[in-house]
Amino acid sequence: MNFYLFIDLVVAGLVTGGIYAVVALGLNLQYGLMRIMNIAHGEFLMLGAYFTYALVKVSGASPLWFIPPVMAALFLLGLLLHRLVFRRLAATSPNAEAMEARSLIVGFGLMFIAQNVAQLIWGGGMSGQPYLDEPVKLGEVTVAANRLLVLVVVAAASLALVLVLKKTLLGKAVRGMLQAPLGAMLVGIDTRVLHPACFGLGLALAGLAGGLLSMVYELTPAMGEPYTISALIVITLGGLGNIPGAIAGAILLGLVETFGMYFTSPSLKTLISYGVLVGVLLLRPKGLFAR
Amino acid sequence: MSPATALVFIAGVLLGALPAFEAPFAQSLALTCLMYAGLAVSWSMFSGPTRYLSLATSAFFGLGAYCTAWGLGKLPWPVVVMLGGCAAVAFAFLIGLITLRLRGAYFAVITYGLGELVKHTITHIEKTYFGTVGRVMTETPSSATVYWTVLVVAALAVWTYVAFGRSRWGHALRGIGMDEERAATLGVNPMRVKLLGFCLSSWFAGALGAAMAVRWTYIDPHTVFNPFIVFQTVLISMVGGPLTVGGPLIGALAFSLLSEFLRLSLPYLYMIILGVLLIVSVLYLPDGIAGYDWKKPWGKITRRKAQVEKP
Amino acid sequence: MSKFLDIRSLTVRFGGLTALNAVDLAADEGEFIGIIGPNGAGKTTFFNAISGMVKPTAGTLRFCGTDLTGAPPCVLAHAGMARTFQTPRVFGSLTVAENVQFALDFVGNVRRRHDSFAEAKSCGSLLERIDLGRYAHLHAGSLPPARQRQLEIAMALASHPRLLLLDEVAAGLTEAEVKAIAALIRELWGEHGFTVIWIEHAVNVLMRTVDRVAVLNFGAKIADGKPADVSRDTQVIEAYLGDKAAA
Repeated sequence: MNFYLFIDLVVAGLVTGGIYAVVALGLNLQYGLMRIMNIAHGEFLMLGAYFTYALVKVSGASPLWFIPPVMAALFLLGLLLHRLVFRRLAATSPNAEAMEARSLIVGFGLMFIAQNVAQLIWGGGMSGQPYLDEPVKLGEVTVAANRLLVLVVVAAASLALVLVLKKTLLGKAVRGMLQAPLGAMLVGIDTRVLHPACFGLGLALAGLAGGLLSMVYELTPAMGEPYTISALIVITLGGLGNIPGAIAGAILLGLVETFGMYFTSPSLKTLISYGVLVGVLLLRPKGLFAR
Repeated sequence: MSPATALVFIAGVLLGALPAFEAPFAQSLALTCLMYAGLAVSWSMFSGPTRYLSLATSAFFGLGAYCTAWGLGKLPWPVVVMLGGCAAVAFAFLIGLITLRLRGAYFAVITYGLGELVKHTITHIEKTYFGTVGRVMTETPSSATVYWTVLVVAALAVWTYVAFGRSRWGHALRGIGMDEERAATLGVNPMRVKLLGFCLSSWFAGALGAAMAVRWTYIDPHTVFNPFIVFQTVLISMVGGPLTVGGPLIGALAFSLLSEFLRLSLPYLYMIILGVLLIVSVLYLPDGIAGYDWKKPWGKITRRKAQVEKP
Repeated sequence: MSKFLDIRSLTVRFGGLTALNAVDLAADEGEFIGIIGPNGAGKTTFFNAISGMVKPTAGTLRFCGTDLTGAPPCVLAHAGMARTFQTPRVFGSLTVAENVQFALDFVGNVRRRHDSFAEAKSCGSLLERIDLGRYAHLHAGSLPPARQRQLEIAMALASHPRLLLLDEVAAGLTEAEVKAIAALIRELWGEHGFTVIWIEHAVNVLMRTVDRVAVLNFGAKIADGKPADVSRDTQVIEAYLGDKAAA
């Protein structure tokens, strides 16, 4: 293949991978911390995308303005959901397996609710308009401006998150909780505050990804599902609770999918993704990057 | 015979005689109800005791439906229905070999995704090899035939559920649900038992899909592989009570009625209500309505009396 | 003639940690062996590695002449290995009788059918033997831990074992209860003739009950012999009390 095609694929892979990283970080926080397998996670990405798009349509302003408020709204939604639903689940489940199973069913319900809310409000067809899709020249290579923007924002967000986790006290508390929940509680980390906050943060990250995607792709109520799967694959690749590993896994997955789709066929994307997930689960259940 | 058995017998007779009454609306309602009863009971057969949440029901159903789509007119009706079940079993066996090694959350997500995968595969096959998107159902059997087929499959599902639950295999599945590793140290082969349960439960979903396919005059992968089918199945089982027999049956009745009256008028709102219902039931009635220990306040008093003496 | 139980160089590594370091243990049928060692010595890891719950990184396990290294728990159960757990693992929502019946149905009576010298055992007789008869219809989850341990022994007995692995059955018991359970184990061993390997922290009781004891420390075996000899072994004393005490 020629060089430009290769670069094209790499950029597409990185953009996809970057989005996966952001979504996976959110899911990692929820599953790693609270054993909440939120299979509705992708739906919040979808809602974030729709909210951003709706605000853009109403005001005509750039979606970049609306991404922070959308993130804030989803953060609050996360706090609400945690308080109403997951806290009770944690309190009434006899053991960790039951909690996982029940949060799965709850997630399943949330998935249906979210998709139908979107259908009710915005209809089932495709909507959205791309923003800033003029091509930009970087040396020899041409990239669409919005994809570049997404890449930059996603990289910045991931970097910020990793720095917060590594350097701040709050971040250390979260990492502590990820590795040893009981121990963390014993040293005084208040899970009653941190759990809802992390849950909300997870949703906010999904909203960020959704808002960014609304600039590039078209929206449908079902667009969220594949991202949940991909986020799960990424967490599995990276190893649960391993944030840098998840980022590496996300980029890897994005590239594998993009190149895989090019060499086989786009409709095999789902098959490729699942193949990767099952393969990793069977061969290296602790993840490719697990310490 | 016990009152419950008598009730079941009477219900069975009435249901069996329904087509003779020439009441298409009642028959259609009963048909939907029987379908969901069969689906819910067969789902509970495996996912109830083992706590492995299977979300593959839509895949099994759709595979059965496509057996009918491809085989109708070429093969006799009972064979088509049987094949629908067997196609589901073959698929369940394959995905079971891979996914039954995985932990709960992964199992659920992958069974869901594999369902989507099957949908894409069939769409691809239809487009590439048959040059079509959907199929029109011609040479369909009479509505009474379809009705009786579904009745028989549903009744078989209920009987299997009870018999299997009482059998050695049923006990093994329950042991796996309680502590899989421990059950293994006591001689249970987890993979073999899980595969058996999973495949058994899949047969009914496939057969029901095969039978119900003729209800739609036009089918396409999107219709028959609809995730709403598994959603409704899980909802009915969870709300009714995943470890009881009566629970899923009553749930099927309730939700079929609800669906009949709300689905067409407020489709999206209806789904939202169902989603909320599912969440509420998991939060407040984790064993379902039938599984709830209604004797709980009394139970606490009697249990204290029977407690072991402290050393 | 091959040994009844032949464990060679059994090693288990978790990432960078070597939990079990090339442990050898050979036993004839019918031996009564104890395993002791300080905390973290790898005793339970040893059990986990031979009972199929953890895959050994290296080494072999031969049981009744067959190589069963890394075999899954259900295979080992059918080969005649039964075990109890440090924290009792019983089926809490089943009754005591149902727990024992589970063991009978899935391994015990299956093994007895293939063993021409054994007759099928009934749940009731097993419960009586372990003195759990009056708890038969209570939920296993409602029993205090000491009784759950007894239940585990009953379940192990129901499995018709040739090798019984007991993991700290005396933990949390009063002195009288410990003596009672040690006596029970010795009795059962005498009646059935199976091989017993017993991990225990209550060193005194164990040393008085078993015929042979192995000592683990930091994942390696440092002694193996008669209780009287082992208790005088300087390495063993060092392991428990530090090197000043050994001098």
